[in-house]
Amino acid sequence: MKNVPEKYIGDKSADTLRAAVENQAKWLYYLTVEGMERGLSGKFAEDAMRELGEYYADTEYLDCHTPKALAGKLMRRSMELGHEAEISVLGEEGFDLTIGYCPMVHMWSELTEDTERIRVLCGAACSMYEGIAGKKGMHVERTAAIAQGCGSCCLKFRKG
Amino acid sequence: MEIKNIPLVNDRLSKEVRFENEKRGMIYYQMVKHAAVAGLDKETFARAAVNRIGRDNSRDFGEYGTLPEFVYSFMNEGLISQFRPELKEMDDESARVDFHYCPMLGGLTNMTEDQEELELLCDCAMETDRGLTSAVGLGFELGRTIANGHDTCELCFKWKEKKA
Repeated sequence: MKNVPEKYIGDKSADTLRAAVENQAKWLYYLTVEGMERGLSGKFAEDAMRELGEYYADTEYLDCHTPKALAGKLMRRSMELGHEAEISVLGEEGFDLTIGYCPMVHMWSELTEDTERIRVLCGAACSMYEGIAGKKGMHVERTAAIAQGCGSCCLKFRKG
Repeated sequence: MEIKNIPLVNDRLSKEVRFENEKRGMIYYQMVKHAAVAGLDKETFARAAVNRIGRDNSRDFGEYGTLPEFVYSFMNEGLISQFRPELKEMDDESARVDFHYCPMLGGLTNMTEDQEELELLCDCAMETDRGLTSAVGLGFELGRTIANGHDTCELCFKWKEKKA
């Protein structure tokens, strides 16, 4: 799994935002693992993150009625600096969100060597985007993932 | 009792980090909710999971020989910018740190207005501190909390002599 930051090295804002996202990842990790050790499948974490995405769609992204508007709002500084993210494709029908570095995968890799567990966690985390997209009349296809050994993540948001 | 949880630091970076920390609170809320929907006992699940987070956090604490050394390590830059902690009192035996704002509670109150649930989830979230202190050999007591309608959360740390 290749997940090494290449931009904003030594940038205090990037480091601070990455640390905050890593802490989120630690909470998601232990809450998911505790649930799975008590007999649940990873679906409960996906459901949780999808519902969080739906909440964001109705609040933070309430006014985002077009792919362009949603893409712009999704690109918070924590995405740009912390995740080395960019909108690599943008059109009337949708956009591609590319992530070059994942602080969440970085944290999970510190906590476990179980790559299958990391894939479950990555799937749960990305369910948040499905929740956002679904409420906006779109869907998301994850065509590449750092957690699956790709050099970057690619989330394709498309209408319909 | 009305919850007063107002962020006091509003520079750009602090607001962006607060957004992420409130999101952590909302992830916590949704995970506990869906674990309960799937059949687990909400409180048992939340306390067990969050205590593990606190124990894991102890990895970030180095060797220390006195309570003040621990407290100064605990009150790091990230904590100061987000929780606005105030060192109310400290000697070699005990210390009290008050939080003036809680971004986790900020996230929780986005998810529910149920006061009883907020108090439960807040107390379970403090398992991070119970887990941390138990891992490093300190005593811990939680006093009044913002979730219970008070102005601050009161964290009390107690020194325990290390066994030879």
